[in-house]
Amino acid sequence: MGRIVTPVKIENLLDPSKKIERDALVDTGAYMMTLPNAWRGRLGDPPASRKVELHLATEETVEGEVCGPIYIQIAGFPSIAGEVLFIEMKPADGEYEPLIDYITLEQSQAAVDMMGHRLTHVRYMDMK
Amino acid sequence: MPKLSLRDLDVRGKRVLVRADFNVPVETRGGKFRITDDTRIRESLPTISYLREHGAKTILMSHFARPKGKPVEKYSLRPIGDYLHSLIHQPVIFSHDTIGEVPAKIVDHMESGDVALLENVRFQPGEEANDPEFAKALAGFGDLYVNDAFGAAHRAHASTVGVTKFVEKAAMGLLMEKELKHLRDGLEKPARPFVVILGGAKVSDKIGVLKALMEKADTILIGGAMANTFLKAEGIPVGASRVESDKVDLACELLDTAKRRGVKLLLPIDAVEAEEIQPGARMRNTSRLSPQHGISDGWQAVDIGAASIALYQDEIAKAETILWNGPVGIFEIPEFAEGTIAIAEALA
Repeated sequence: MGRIVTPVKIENLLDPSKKIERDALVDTGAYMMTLPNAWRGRLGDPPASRKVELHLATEETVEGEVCGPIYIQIAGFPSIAGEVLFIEMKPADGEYEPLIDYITLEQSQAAVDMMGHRLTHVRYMDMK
Repeated sequence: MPKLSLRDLDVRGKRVLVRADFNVPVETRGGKFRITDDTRIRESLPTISYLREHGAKTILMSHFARPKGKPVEKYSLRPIGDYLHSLIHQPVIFSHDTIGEVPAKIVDHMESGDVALLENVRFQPGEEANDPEFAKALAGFGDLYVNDAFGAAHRAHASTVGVTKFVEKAAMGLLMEKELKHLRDGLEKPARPFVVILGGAKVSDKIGVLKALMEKADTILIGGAMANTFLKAEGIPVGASRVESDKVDLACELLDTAKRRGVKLLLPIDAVEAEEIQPGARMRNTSRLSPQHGISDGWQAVDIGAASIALYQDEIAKAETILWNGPVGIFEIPEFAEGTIAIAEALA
Protein backbone atom coordinates (compact mmCIF):
# COMPACT_ATOMS: atom_id res chain seq x y z
CA MET A 1 0.00 0.00 0.00
CA GLY A 2 1.31 3.43 -0.89
CA ARG A 3 1.85 6.17 1.64
CA ILE A 4 1.73 9.79 0.66
CA VAL A 5 3.63 12.08 2.98
CA THR A 6 3.83 15.79 2.30
CA PRO A 7 5.14 18.89 4.11
CA VAL A 8 2.51 21.00 5.82
CA LYS A 9 2.59 24.30 7.69
CA ILE A 10 0.15 24.72 10.58
CA GLU A 11 -0.16 28.15 12.18
CA ASN A 12 -2.25 29.54 15.01
CA LEU A 13 -4.27 32.26 13.32
CA LEU A 14 -4.53 34.22 16.56
CA ASP A 15 -0.79 33.99 17.27
CA PRO A 16 1.20 33.60 14.05
CA SER A 17 4.42 33.10 16.04
CA LYS A 18 3.06 29.68 17.03
CA LYS A 19 3.48 27.39 14.06
CA ILE A 20 4.65 23.94 13.13
CA GLU A 21 6.17 22.84 9.84
CA ARG A 22 6.29 19.08 9.49
CA ASP A 23 5.63 16.18 7.15
CA ALA A 24 2.14 14.77 7.45
CA LEU A 25 0.48 11.60 6.18
CA VAL A 26 -2.38 12.01 3.71
CA ASP A 27 -5.33 10.05 5.13
CA THR A 28 -8.51 10.42 3.08
CA GLY A 29 -10.37 8.52 5.81
CA ALA A 30 -9.65 11.24 8.37
CA TYR A 31 -12.26 13.97 8.63
CA MET A 32 -10.09 16.65 10.13
CA MET A 33 -6.41 17.61 10.23
CA THR A 34 -5.28 15.48 13.15
CA LEU A 35 -2.37 16.35 15.46
CA PRO A 36 -0.96 14.88 18.65
CA ASN A 37 -2.06 16.39 21.95
CA ALA A 38 1.63 16.94 22.68
CA TRP A 39 1.71 19.74 20.07
CA ARG A 40 -0.99 21.89 21.60
CA GLY A 41 1.47 24.06 23.47
CA ARG A 42 3.66 24.49 20.38
CA LEU A 43 0.60 25.83 18.58
CA GLY A 44 -0.11 28.26 21.42
CA ASP A 45 -3.12 26.38 22.80
CA PRO A 46 -5.67 27.50 20.18
CA PRO A 47 -9.25 27.85 21.52
CA ALA A 48 -11.19 24.58 21.75
CA SER A 49 -14.54 24.43 19.99
CA ARG A 50 -15.79 20.95 20.89
CA LYS A 51 -14.94 17.43 22.02
CA VAL A 52 -15.48 14.56 19.61
CA GLU A 53 -15.41 10.79 19.81
CA LEU A 54 -13.50 8.96 17.09
CA HIS A 55 -13.65 5.40 15.90
CA LEU A 56 -10.26 4.38 14.58
CA ALA A 57 -9.43 1.75 11.98
CA THR A 58 -8.00 -0.28 14.87
CA GLU A 59 -11.56 -0.41 16.29
CA GLU A 60 -10.45 1.74 19.20
CA THR A 61 -12.61 4.66 20.32
CA VAL A 62 -10.71 7.72 21.42
CA GLU A 63 -11.65 11.24 22.47
CA GLY A 64 -10.32 14.28 20.71
CA GLU A 65 -10.73 18.02 20.88
CA VAL A 66 -11.30 20.32 17.92
CA CYS A 67 -9.44 23.65 18.13
CA GLY A 68 -9.04 26.68 15.91
CA PRO A 69 -8.89 28.90 13.98
CA ILE A 70 -5.74 27.59 12.32
CA TYR A 71 -4.09 28.30 8.99
CA ILE A 72 -3.09 25.10 7.22
CA GLN A 73 -0.93 25.05 4.13
CA ILE A 74 0.04 21.90 2.32
CA ALA A 75 3.30 22.60 0.47
CA GLY A 76 2.54 23.82 -3.06
CA PHE A 77 -1.15 24.46 -2.37
CA PRO A 78 -3.08 27.53 -1.23
CA SER A 79 -3.41 28.20 2.46
CA ILE A 80 -6.75 27.49 4.11
CA ALA A 81 -8.35 28.54 7.40
CA GLY A 82 -9.79 25.74 9.45
CA GLU A 83 -9.64 23.75 12.63
CA VAL A 84 -7.47 20.87 13.82
CA LEU A 85 -8.23 17.84 15.93
CA PHE A 86 -5.94 16.99 18.82
CA ILE A 87 -5.87 13.37 19.96
CA GLU A 88 -3.55 11.23 22.04
CA MET A 89 -1.05 9.80 19.53
CA LYS A 90 1.79 7.38 19.99
CA PRO A 91 5.00 8.38 18.22
CA ALA A 92 6.25 5.89 15.63
CA ASP A 93 10.04 5.63 15.52
CA GLY A 94 10.18 8.56 17.94
CA GLU A 95 8.21 10.85 15.59
CA TYR A 96 4.58 11.86 15.57
CA GLU A 97 2.79 11.55 12.25
CA PRO A 98 0.02 14.13 11.81
CA LEU A 99 -2.82 13.32 9.39
CA ILE A 100 -4.12 15.41 6.52
CA ASP A 101 -7.86 14.80 6.11
CA TYR A 102 -10.20 14.90 3.15
CA ILE A 103 -11.75 18.29 3.99
CA THR A 104 -8.31 19.93 4.15
CA LEU A 105 -7.52 18.29 0.80
CA GLU A 106 -10.79 19.55 -0.73
CA GLN A 107 -10.27 23.06 0.58
CA SER A 108 -6.67 23.09 -0.62
CA GLN A 109 -7.87 21.87 -4.03
CA ALA A 110 -5.56 18.88 -3.68
CA ALA A 111 -6.31 15.42 -5.02
CA VAL A 112 -4.49 12.17 -4.47
CA ASP A 113 -2.62 10.94 -7.53
CA MET A 114 -2.58 7.20 -6.88
CA MET A 115 -0.21 6.47 -9.76
CA GLY A 116 2.35 9.11 -8.87
CA HIS A 117 1.95 8.77 -5.08
CA ARG A 118 1.63 12.51 -4.69
CA LEU A 119 -0.92 15.29 -4.42
CA THR A 120 -2.02 17.13 -7.53
CA HIS A 121 -3.79 20.44 -7.92
CA VAL A 122 -7.48 20.26 -8.89
CA ARG A 123 -8.21 23.43 -10.82
CA TYR A 124 -11.90 22.88 -11.41
CA MET A 125 -14.29 21.18 -9.08
CA ASP A 126 -17.87 20.08 -9.47
CA MET A 127 -19.23 21.54 -6.25
CA LYS A 128 -22.52 19.65 -6.45
CA MET B 1 -34.33 59.52 3.85
CA PRO B 2 -32.68 57.56 1.03
CA LYS B 3 -31.22 54.24 2.12
CA LEU B 4 -27.44 53.94 2.10
CA SER B 5 -25.90 51.43 -0.24
CA LEU B 6 -22.66 49.56 0.30
CA ARG B 7 -21.33 51.66 -2.59
CA ASP B 8 -21.82 54.81 -0.46
CA LEU B 9 -19.44 53.58 2.23
CA ASP B 10 -15.68 54.00 2.42
CA VAL B 11 -14.82 50.46 3.43
CA ARG B 12 -11.05 50.38 2.88
CA GLY B 13 -9.31 49.01 5.94
CA LYS B 14 -12.60 49.02 7.87
CA ARG B 15 -14.21 46.12 9.68
CA VAL B 16 -17.48 45.53 7.85
CA LEU B 17 -20.05 43.33 9.57
CA VAL B 18 -22.28 41.73 6.93
CA ARG B 19 -25.59 40.01 7.66
CA ALA B 20 -25.90 37.43 4.88
CA ASP B 21 -28.50 34.71 4.38
CA PHE B 22 -26.75 31.35 4.26
CA ASN B 23 -29.85 29.42 5.31
CA VAL B 24 -29.48 26.90 2.48
CA PRO B 25 -31.06 23.47 2.07
CA VAL B 26 -28.64 20.68 2.93
CA GLU B 27 -28.51 16.91 3.24
CA THR B 28 -26.08 14.50 4.82
CA ARG B 29 -25.31 11.53 2.63
CA GLY B 30 -22.81 8.84 3.63
CA GLY B 31 -21.80 11.01 6.57
CA LYS B 32 -20.92 13.86 4.26
CA PHE B 33 -22.61 17.24 4.43
CA ARG B 34 -23.90 18.45 1.09
CA ILE B 35 -25.55 21.73 0.08
CA THR B 36 -28.41 20.86 -2.26
CA ASP B 37 -29.05 24.42 -3.46
CA ASP B 38 -26.31 27.04 -3.07
CA THR B 39 -28.26 29.94 -4.63
CA ARG B 40 -28.32 32.01 -1.45
CA ILE B 41 -24.58 31.65 -0.95
CA ARG B 42 -23.85 32.57 -4.56
CA GLU B 43 -26.16 35.58 -4.34
CA SER B 44 -24.02 36.97 -1.52
CA LEU B 45 -20.84 36.79 -3.61
CA PRO B 46 -21.14 40.26 -5.26
CA THR B 47 -21.14 41.94 -1.83
CA ILE B 48 -18.29 39.77 -0.53
CA SER B 49 -16.24 40.34 -3.70
CA TYR B 50 -16.87 44.10 -3.56
CA LEU B 51 -15.66 44.25 0.03
CA ARG B 52 -12.54 42.18 -0.72
CA GLU B 53 -11.70 44.23 -3.79
CA HIS B 54 -12.09 47.44 -1.79
CA GLY B 55 -9.81 46.29 1.01
CA ALA B 56 -12.38 45.76 3.75
CA LYS B 57 -12.16 43.22 6.54
CA THR B 58 -15.36 41.26 5.98
CA ILE B 59 -17.05 39.65 8.96
CA LEU B 60 -20.00 37.55 7.82
CA MET B 61 -22.89 36.40 9.98
CA SER B 62 -26.01 34.43 9.19
CA HIS B 63 -28.65 32.19 10.66
CA PHE B 64 -28.96 28.57 9.61
CA ALA B 65 -32.07 26.47 10.32
CA ARG B 66 -33.83 26.69 13.69
CA PRO B 67 -31.54 25.70 16.56
CA LYS B 68 -33.80 27.64 18.96
CA GLY B 69 -31.21 29.71 20.77
CA LYS B 70 -28.70 27.03 21.63
CA PRO B 71 -25.72 25.41 19.86
CA VAL B 72 -26.70 22.39 17.76
CA GLU B 73 -23.71 20.90 15.96
CA LYS B 74 -25.67 19.87 12.83
CA TYR B 75 -26.68 23.52 12.35
CA SER B 76 -23.14 24.89 12.56
CA LEU B 77 -22.11 27.25 9.77
CA ARG B 78 -18.67 25.60 9.62
CA PRO B 79 -19.39 23.61 6.40
CA ILE B 80 -20.95 26.71 4.84
CA GLY B 81 -17.66 28.50 5.50
CA ASP B 82 -15.78 25.64 3.85
CA TYR B 83 -18.08 25.87 0.85
CA LEU B 84 -17.71 29.62 0.63
CA HIS B 85 -13.95 29.19 0.62
CA SER B 86 -14.31 26.97 -2.45
CA LEU B 87 -16.33 29.68 -4.21
CA ILE B 88 -14.13 32.68 -3.42
CA HIS B 89 -10.79 30.81 -3.46
CA GLN B 90 -9.74 32.48 -0.27
CA PRO B 91 -9.59 31.20 3.30
CA VAL B 92 -12.74 31.90 5.26
CA ILE B 93 -11.78 32.19 8.91
CA PHE B 94 -14.46 30.43 10.90
CA SER B 95 -15.24 31.50 14.45
CA HIS B 96 -16.78 28.64 16.40
CA ASP B 97 -18.37 31.19 18.73
CA THR B 98 -20.80 33.88 17.57
CA ILE B 99 -19.72 36.45 20.15
CA GLY B 100 -17.01 36.57 22.81
CA GLU B 101 -13.27 36.23 23.01
CA VAL B 102 -12.69 33.94 20.00
CA PRO B 103 -14.40 36.11 17.34
CA ALA B 104 -13.00 39.26 18.99
CA LYS B 105 -9.46 37.89 18.61
CA ILE B 106 -10.12 36.76 15.04
CA VAL B 107 -11.38 40.21 14.08
CA ASP B 108 -8.37 41.84 15.78
CA HIS B 109 -6.03 39.71 13.66
CA MET B 110 -7.80 40.28 10.36
CA GLU B 111 -6.10 42.18 7.58
CA SER B 112 -7.64 44.08 4.66
CA GLY B 113 -9.23 41.65 2.22
CA ASP B 114 -9.69 38.90 4.85
CA VAL B 115 -13.04 37.17 5.25
CA ALA B 116 -14.35 35.67 8.49
CA LEU B 117 -17.59 33.89 9.30
CA LEU B 118 -19.22 33.89 12.74
CA GLU B 119 -21.04 30.82 14.04
CA ASN B 120 -24.84 30.65 13.52
CA VAL B 121 -26.43 33.72 15.14
CA ARG B 122 -29.42 31.59 16.15
CA PHE B 123 -27.20 29.60 18.53
CA GLN B 124 -27.71 32.61 20.79
CA PRO B 125 -31.09 33.20 22.48
CA GLY B 126 -30.56 36.95 22.02
CA GLU B 127 -30.86 36.72 18.23
CA GLU B 128 -34.57 36.05 17.82
CA ALA B 129 -35.38 38.00 21.00
CA ASN B 130 -33.59 40.99 19.47
CA ASP B 131 -31.70 41.36 22.74
CA PRO B 132 -29.83 44.70 22.83
CA GLU B 133 -26.85 43.16 24.67
CA PHE B 134 -26.40 40.54 21.98
CA ALA B 135 -26.90 43.13 19.23
CA LYS B 136 -24.28 45.35 20.87
CA ALA B 137 -21.82 42.45 21.09
CA LEU B 138 -22.27 41.75 17.36
CA ALA B 139 -21.95 45.44 16.50
CA GLY B 140 -18.63 45.53 18.35
CA PHE B 141 -17.08 43.45 15.54
CA GLY B 142 -17.74 46.06 12.85
CA ASP B 143 -17.03 49.68 12.11
CA LEU B 144 -19.80 49.46 9.50
CA TYR B 145 -22.81 47.20 9.09
CA VAL B 146 -24.20 45.88 5.82
CA ASN B 147 -27.46 43.96 5.56
CA ASP B 148 -27.54 41.65 2.55
CA ALA B 149 -30.00 39.09 3.95
CA PHE B 150 -33.06 39.94 1.90
CA GLY B 151 -34.79 36.70 2.90
CA ALA B 152 -34.41 37.49 6.61
CA ALA B 153 -34.86 41.26 6.51
CA HIS B 154 -38.53 41.12 7.50
CA ARG B 155 -37.67 39.74 10.92
CA ALA B 156 -36.74 42.12 13.73
CA HIS B 157 -33.84 40.12 15.08
CA ALA B 158 -30.62 41.28 16.72
CA SER B 159 -28.47 40.69 13.62
CA THR B 160 -30.90 42.43 11.25
CA VAL B 161 -32.43 45.26 13.28
CA GLY B 162 -30.94 45.48 16.79
CA VAL B 163 -27.38 45.77 15.56
CA THR B 164 -28.10 48.93 13.56
CA LYS B 165 -28.53 50.93 16.78
CA PHE B 166 -24.93 50.29 17.78
CA VAL B 167 -22.99 50.93 14.55
CA GLU B 168 -21.81 54.17 13.07
CA LYS B 169 -23.28 53.49 9.64
CA ALA B 170 -25.59 50.80 8.27
CA ALA B 171 -26.15 50.15 4.58
CA MET B 172 -27.75 47.62 2.29
CA GLY B 173 -25.61 45.11 0.44
CA LEU B 174 -25.64 44.61 -3.30
CA LEU B 175 -28.13 41.74 -3.19
CA MET B 176 -30.50 43.72 -0.97
CA GLU B 177 -30.16 46.69 -3.32
CA LYS B 178 -30.94 44.54 -6.36
CA GLU B 179 -33.97 42.89 -4.73
CA LEU B 180 -35.36 46.22 -3.52
CA LYS B 181 -34.95 47.71 -6.98
CA HIS B 182 -36.92 44.83 -8.53
CA LEU B 183 -39.58 45.22 -5.87
CA ARG B 184 -39.79 48.99 -6.26
CA ASP B 185 -39.98 48.79 -10.06
CA GLY B 186 -42.70 46.15 -9.79
CA LEU B 187 -44.75 47.98 -7.19
CA GLU B 188 -44.57 51.55 -8.41
CA LYS B 189 -46.44 51.01 -11.63
CA PRO B 190 -47.56 47.41 -11.74
CA ALA B 191 -49.20 46.15 -14.90
CA ARG B 192 -52.77 45.16 -14.00
CA PRO B 193 -54.32 42.97 -12.79
CA PHE B 194 -51.78 42.92 -9.97
CA VAL B 195 -52.11 39.66 -8.04
CA VAL B 196 -50.37 39.04 -4.70
CA ILE B 197 -49.94 35.54 -3.29
CA LEU B 198 -49.24 35.59 0.43
CA GLY B 199 -48.41 32.43 2.32
CA GLY B 200 -46.35 31.52 5.34
CA ALA B 201 -47.21 30.84 8.94
CA LYS B 202 -48.09 34.09 10.60
CA VAL B 203 -50.43 36.99 9.90
CA SER B 204 -48.39 38.98 12.40
CA ASP B 205 -45.29 38.64 10.21
CA LYS B 206 -47.11 40.09 7.21
CA ILE B 207 -49.39 42.81 8.59
CA GLY B 208 -47.26 45.63 7.22
CA VAL B 209 -46.95 43.95 3.83
CA LEU B 210 -50.67 43.20 3.68
CA LYS B 211 -51.71 46.74 4.60
CA ALA B 212 -49.31 48.26 2.06
CA LEU B 213 -50.41 45.86 -0.67
CA MET B 214 -54.10 46.59 -0.08
CA GLU B 215 -53.41 49.97 -1.66
CA LYS B 216 -51.75 48.48 -4.74
CA ALA B 217 -53.08 45.00 -5.45
CA ASP B 218 -56.21 44.03 -7.35
CA THR B 219 -56.30 40.50 -5.93
CA ILE B 220 -54.68 38.92 -2.87
CA LEU B 221 -54.54 35.13 -2.58
CA ILE B 222 -53.96 33.86 0.95
CA GLY B 223 -52.39 30.49 1.78
CA GLY B 224 -50.26 28.80 4.41
CA ALA B 225 -51.04 28.68 8.11
CA MET B 226 -51.81 32.39 7.87
CA ALA B 227 -55.00 31.42 6.00
CA ASN B 228 -56.27 29.57 9.10
CA THR B 229 -56.46 32.80 11.07
CA PHE B 230 -58.52 34.37 8.26
CA LEU B 231 -60.75 31.28 8.04
CA LYS B 232 -61.38 31.50 11.76
CA ALA B 233 -62.25 35.18 11.32
CA GLU B 234 -64.88 34.07 8.78
CA GLY B 235 -66.33 31.67 11.35
CA ILE B 236 -65.01 28.55 9.63
CA PRO B 237 -63.87 25.76 12.00
CA VAL B 238 -60.12 25.16 11.74
CA GLY B 239 -59.79 21.95 13.82
CA ALA B 240 -56.34 21.64 15.37
CA SER B 241 -54.70 23.85 12.74
CA ARG B 242 -52.12 26.42 13.68
CA VAL B 243 -53.96 29.71 14.32
CA GLU B 244 -52.92 33.03 15.81
CA SER B 245 -55.97 33.46 18.03
CA ASP B 246 -54.93 36.93 19.13
CA LYS B 247 -54.84 38.05 15.48
CA VAL B 248 -58.37 36.97 14.51
CA ASP B 249 -59.71 40.50 15.08
CA LEU B 250 -56.92 41.87 12.92
CA ALA B 251 -57.82 39.36 10.20
CA CYS B 252 -61.47 40.60 10.36
CA GLU B 253 -60.23 44.15 10.02
CA LEU B 254 -58.09 43.25 7.00
CA LEU B 255 -61.02 41.46 5.35
CA ASP B 256 -63.19 44.59 5.87
CA THR B 257 -60.46 46.86 4.50
CA ALA B 258 -60.19 44.69 1.40
CA LYS B 259 -63.97 44.91 0.85
CA ARG B 260 -63.96 48.70 1.27
CA ARG B 261 -61.09 49.15 -1.16
CA GLY B 262 -62.48 46.76 -3.74
CA VAL B 263 -59.55 44.38 -3.40
CA LYS B 264 -60.44 40.77 -4.12
CA LEU B 265 -59.01 38.96 -1.07
CA LEU B 266 -59.38 35.22 -1.59
CA LEU B 267 -59.04 32.54 1.08
CA PRO B 268 -58.72 28.81 0.36
CA ILE B 269 -62.12 27.33 -0.48
CA ASP B 270 -60.91 23.87 0.51
CA ALA B 271 -57.82 22.43 2.18
CA VAL B 272 -55.71 19.35 2.57
CA GLU B 273 -56.09 18.25 6.18
CA ALA B 274 -53.83 15.80 8.01
CA GLU B 275 -53.95 14.02 11.35
CA GLU B 276 -50.34 14.92 12.09
CA ILE B 277 -47.68 17.10 10.60
CA GLN B 278 -45.28 14.42 9.50
CA PRO B 279 -44.56 12.37 6.39
CA GLY B 280 -46.93 9.44 5.98
CA ALA B 281 -49.65 10.96 8.15
CA ARG B 282 -53.27 10.28 7.20
CA MET B 283 -54.49 13.11 4.96
CA ARG B 284 -57.49 14.05 2.81
CA ASN B 285 -59.00 16.92 0.85
CA THR B 286 -61.82 18.66 2.71
CA SER B 287 -65.14 19.50 1.14
CA ARG B 288 -65.88 23.15 0.38
CA LEU B 289 -65.07 25.16 3.51
CA SER B 290 -67.93 26.98 5.19
CA PRO B 291 -69.03 27.76 8.74
CA GLN B 292 -70.82 24.38 8.67
CA HIS B 293 -67.97 22.40 7.08
CA GLY B 294 -64.50 23.32 8.23
CA ILE B 295 -61.34 21.45 9.10
CA SER B 296 -62.23 18.29 11.05
CA ASP B 297 -61.81 18.21 14.82
CA GLY B 298 -58.27 17.14 15.72
CA TRP B 299 -57.04 17.51 12.13
CA GLN B 300 -54.83 20.27 10.76
CA ALA B 301 -54.85 22.17 7.47
CA VAL B 302 -51.49 21.50 5.82
CA ASP B 303 -51.99 22.73 2.26
CA ILE B 304 -54.55 24.41 0.04
CA GLY B 305 -56.96 21.93 -1.54
CA ALA B 306 -57.59 20.96 -5.18
CA ALA B 307 -60.44 23.48 -5.69
CA SER B 308 -58.34 26.28 -4.17
CA ILE B 309 -55.45 25.39 -6.47
CA ALA B 310 -57.77 25.69 -9.49
CA LEU B 311 -59.20 28.99 -8.22
CA TYR B 312 -55.75 30.47 -7.55
CA GLN B 313 -54.44 29.24 -10.90
CA ASP B 314 -57.31 31.06 -12.65
CA GLU B 315 -56.42 34.31 -10.89
CA ILE B 316 -52.73 33.85 -11.69
CA ALA B 317 -53.56 33.25 -15.37
CA LYS B 318 -55.35 36.62 -15.53
CA ALA B 319 -52.54 38.53 -13.79
CA GLU B 320 -50.12 40.88 -15.49
CA THR B 321 -48.02 41.43 -12.35
CA ILE B 322 -47.58 38.83 -9.61
CA LEU B 323 -45.90 39.12 -6.23
CA TRP B 324 -45.47 35.88 -4.29
CA ASN B 325 -44.35 35.70 -0.70
CA GLY B 326 -44.39 32.47 1.32
CA PRO B 327 -45.48 28.89 0.64
CA VAL B 328 -49.17 28.00 0.69
CA GLY B 329 -48.62 24.71 2.53
CA ILE B 330 -46.06 22.87 4.62
CA PHE B 331 -43.97 22.26 1.52
CA GLU B 332 -41.03 20.83 3.48
CA ILE B 333 -43.08 17.60 3.66
CA PRO B 334 -43.53 16.38 0.07
CA GLU B 335 -47.12 15.17 0.60
CA PHE B 336 -48.11 18.69 1.67
CA ALA B 337 -46.25 20.52 -1.10
CA GLU B 338 -48.75 20.07 -3.93
CA GLY B 339 -50.36 23.49 -3.57
CA THR B 340 -47.06 25.36 -3.43
CA ILE B 341 -45.73 23.42 -6.43
CA ALA B 342 -48.96 24.06 -8.37
CA ILE B 343 -48.63 27.80 -7.71
CA ALA B 344 -44.99 27.72 -8.81
CA GLU B 345 -45.95 25.86 -11.98
CA ALA B 346 -48.71 28.35 -12.71
CA LEU B 347 -46.14 31.14 -12.48
CA ALA B 348 -43.52 29.37 -14.59
